[in-house]
Amino acid sequence: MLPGANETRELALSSIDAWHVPYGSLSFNLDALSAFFLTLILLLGVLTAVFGKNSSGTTWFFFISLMFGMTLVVLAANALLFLFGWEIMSLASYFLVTTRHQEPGVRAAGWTYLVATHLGTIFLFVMFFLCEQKTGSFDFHAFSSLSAQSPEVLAAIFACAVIGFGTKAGFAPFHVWLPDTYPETPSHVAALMSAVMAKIAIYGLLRMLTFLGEPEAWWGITLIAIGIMSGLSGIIMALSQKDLKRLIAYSSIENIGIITIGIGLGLLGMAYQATGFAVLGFAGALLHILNHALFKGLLFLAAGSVLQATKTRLIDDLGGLLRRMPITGGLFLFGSIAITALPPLNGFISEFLIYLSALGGGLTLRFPANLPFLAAVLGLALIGGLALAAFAKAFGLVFLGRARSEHSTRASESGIWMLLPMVVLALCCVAIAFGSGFFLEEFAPIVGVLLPHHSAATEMTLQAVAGQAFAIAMLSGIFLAVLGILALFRYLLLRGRVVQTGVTWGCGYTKGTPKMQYTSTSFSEPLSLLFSPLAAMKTEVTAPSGFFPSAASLQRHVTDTFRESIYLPIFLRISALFSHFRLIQHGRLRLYVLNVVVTLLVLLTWKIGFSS
Amino acid sequence: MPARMTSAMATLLCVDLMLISFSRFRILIYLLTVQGIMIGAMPFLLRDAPHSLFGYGLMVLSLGLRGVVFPWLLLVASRKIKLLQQGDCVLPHATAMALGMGLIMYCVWLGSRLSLPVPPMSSLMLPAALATILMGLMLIVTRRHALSQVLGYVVLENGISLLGISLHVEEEVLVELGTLLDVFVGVFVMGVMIYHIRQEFDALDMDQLSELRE
Amino acid sequence: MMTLMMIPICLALCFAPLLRSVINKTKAFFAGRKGPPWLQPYRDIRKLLGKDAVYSKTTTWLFRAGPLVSLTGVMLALTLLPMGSIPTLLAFPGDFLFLAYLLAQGRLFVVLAALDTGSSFEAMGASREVQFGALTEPVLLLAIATLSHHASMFSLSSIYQTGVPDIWSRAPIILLILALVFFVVLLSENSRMPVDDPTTHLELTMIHEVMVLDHGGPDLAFIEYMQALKLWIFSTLIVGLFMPSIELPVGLQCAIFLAGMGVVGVAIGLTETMMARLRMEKVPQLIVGAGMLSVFTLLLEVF
Repeated sequence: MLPGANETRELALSSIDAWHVPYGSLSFNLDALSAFFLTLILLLGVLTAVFGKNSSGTTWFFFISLMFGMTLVVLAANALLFLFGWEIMSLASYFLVTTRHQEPGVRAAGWTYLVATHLGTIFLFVMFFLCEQKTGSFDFHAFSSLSAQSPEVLAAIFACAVIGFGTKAGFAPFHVWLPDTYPETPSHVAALMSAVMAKIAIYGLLRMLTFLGEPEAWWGITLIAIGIMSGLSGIIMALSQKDLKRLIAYSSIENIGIITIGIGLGLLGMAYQATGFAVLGFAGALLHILNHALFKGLLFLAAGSVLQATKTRLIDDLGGLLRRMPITGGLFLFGSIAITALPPLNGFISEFLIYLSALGGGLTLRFPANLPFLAAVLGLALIGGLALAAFAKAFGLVFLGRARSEHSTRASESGIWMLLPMVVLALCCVAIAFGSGFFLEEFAPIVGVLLPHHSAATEMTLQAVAGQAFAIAMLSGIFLAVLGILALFRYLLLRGRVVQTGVTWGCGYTKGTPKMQYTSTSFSEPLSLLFSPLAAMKTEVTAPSGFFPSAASLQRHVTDTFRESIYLPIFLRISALFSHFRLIQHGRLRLYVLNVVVTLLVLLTWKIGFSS
Repeated sequence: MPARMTSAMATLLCVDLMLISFSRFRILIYLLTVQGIMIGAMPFLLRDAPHSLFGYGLMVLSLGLRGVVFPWLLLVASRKIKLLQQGDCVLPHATAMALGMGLIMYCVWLGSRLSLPVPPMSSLMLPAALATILMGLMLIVTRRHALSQVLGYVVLENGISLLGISLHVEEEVLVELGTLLDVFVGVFVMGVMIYHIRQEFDALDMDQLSELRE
Repeated sequence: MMTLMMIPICLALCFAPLLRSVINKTKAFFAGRKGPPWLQPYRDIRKLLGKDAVYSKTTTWLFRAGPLVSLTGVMLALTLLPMGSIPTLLAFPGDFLFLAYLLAQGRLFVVLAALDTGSSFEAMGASREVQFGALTEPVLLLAIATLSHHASMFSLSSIYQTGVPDIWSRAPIILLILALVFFVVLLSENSRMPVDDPTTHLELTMIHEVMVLDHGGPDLAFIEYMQALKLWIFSTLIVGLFMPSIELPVGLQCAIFLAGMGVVGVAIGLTETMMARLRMEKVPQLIVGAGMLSVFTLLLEVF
């Protein structure tokens, strides 16, 4: 999978000669960690580009800029260069989000994204300037002396990194921009943003962690808590969505949560000197990054294919698409099985590693040190069960049953250039599912970047895990074999018998229409209600009134608790505060000129009069 | 013996958890009976035989009060005011359960932190005692009905006596008996009061008593 | 060795439907009826296998694949299950996660097949199935994780073969509580009485039975057999807690095991006789309560 894993180590030593600019140098570095993320960028970049090959020139320009920015971030060995790449990435993705800027919804989503991403970037600026203050340089190799700093400084850097990178990655509660943004973005860009750009933020977090030396226990506990919160709130919200792309966007938050749990477990294992669990946690997180890039890319592309064919994202307008779009449907099912971590596909293996890390820590450590590990086990199990519900809904209501509106009766299968990237992604998923036993040991150098000085233990743990991955792959093989035998048995049974078709049994009611099928809200309502603090259900009723009631309506939708009860009040307050400044925004040119003159005079007086 | 003791303590903790998560009064009374009998019988299991017949008498009295009299009194009272099938917890079920679980975790942690002069028979003993006391308090806080609050007091007393047992208090039977009698009188007075409140107001929702404030 | 390892699997494949008979007979006994004959489940399956097939026009290949995939998952789960001291076919650290996710795979396909019919009744059952499944799966995993924690073992067979006897000698209360938790999970996962009524598919109880309304012929036979095997798996998890730890001849072990399964069957029958179905919104409370109990047993390690 990572052919260059060993060469990259040598490459890292011979990094390109730095180009000096004011305040820093444009120096590059490629080590195993960078190489891993670079693989993601290039693989997904190419595949999503093929999917969106009909896009306009502007889109292409920003798409390439986005790729360039991400590559720069991953290769940068200097904080300024890193921020430069980060900014290119953010701006390019902003312009990609607003591709269809004629629609007001798109403009609003772009605006939210721009504000959120820059609020996050502020924390990155603070973090890097803090590092520079303490080490005297913006160079990453100088940052490695940070580990000698006082715990308070390290804590501040860690907090800034979590908030700054977490905003981009979509950690709850910094995730609110994400579900607004992804649905409005062209599907192939959304796939790239969710599958890769969010991971670049994870890369930043991991890279910063390598500078901070031995972690403290509370870092790991914080990340596990954030991970569980992101995972649970993400998947509950995903479950309650009516918009297919929004559902998948929320599921990104869930998967980022799982990755964060893995990283947190790794840090906690390091803090408790339990190298085995640390390795499992990190390796699980890394493998899940790869896996998520593959199946989330696949799902977003499949959703894009559906959107292109039906012109709607609303689940309640879709249905029965498996008949009209068999390949897209099959691939979506494939992605759903992978993302819900069900065997025999790849999602299971990475979650399995994270589970093993959590179980191991919970098993060997004493109370109360083992509580975070056990909480991680419980969190992962809950997330797993809910993910199944969410994707049963996504696939079941969109692709199965009868078409709910004209949108889906008109649909037809997408072209080869849309299907091809999805097929490649699906094949990669299969390769990981059955081949992870072969390449898990190749993760040793990547984990080695995060967990230095333990290479022997790392390799030993990964070897042991590779053995288990073999066992899982073997069981998956048996699964397919048994399935084949049963299918043959069924075929032999039914051969020569009468196989009829009829209507679906309606419990005696024969006038059923497609509109009577279960809707997306009704399917997810019981679970949404059960977890109502995380997903507040809003009901808007216009009750019938009078003796001859005419219009009545009932609308239910689920709102994001973080958005409604934290961000909305804050931003409304801010906007109310700044609306006072509208006084000076009156539109009279003469007065504007007066403003400029007054400002200049004040500055001049201050400069001349008070600087003796 | 330690394994059996641990099992007994685990059962007591389980009872504590159930006390806070169930809301039906009849089940609460059953749980209280189990708890009372277990805690009342504890001194027989733990100690060498007491020196006097008087000591034995006190222990039997304590067992009788906890295991039989209190639950019976509560049962009679609740039957009279037809409370048996009702629930009156102010918290949602899952929240109450999570709260109880959190409290038990806290008690286990606290028990592992406190060091006693004489180590108790089982390391779960102290957590069980603390949890029982806290659960009694939580019952008083989370229940609306006066009778449930009385039940909370009885649970609280059970916890105190378990704490006494695990702390190896000298002459513990006497100390315990003191608290036991206090509670007995308390329950009695409460019983009379409840009867009168009911006569006056026809309702025992303690929240409604807030209307009596100035 | 291989033949020895195949014994638990063969026992499961042969006797799983009989466990349903035990439940039915128990219920019939307490209701003062004679009950269906002991071999009725086998006859039902044979009859269904011999039938023609009728499919709804709405359905796709997924409807036909659903029963197959879920039956495969459940059959594969059998290879990981320990029975007494007989070694399992496969064991690796964390194999219980694989078991739990295999069962989840089965659930997903039954649910998708139900959604494939486009019937709102079946979708209602599907919605409830994923709801309760999302709750019972963590409880099941938590209970096994608790067991693995106390046994300091990572794979199902080592947990049951060396860990459980060890826990019996230290703190039997843990196993008793966990047996209760497993029992609640069994009732919920197999749509038994306080959660679901296995004998009707009326609106009040629309969970499992309503999801398979449209299945018929061989497909329904697969589903029925899958349900029987699933019940067997969960019962095995309970019986395993009570298997004697001393080395016994294989025949005797099998006899004890089957007797234990019979006891579980009677217990399920008794529960169904004594309890009414819970209101839908009460079911999560039952499952969450079971989860709390297994969290509680995690705390009992301080010795």
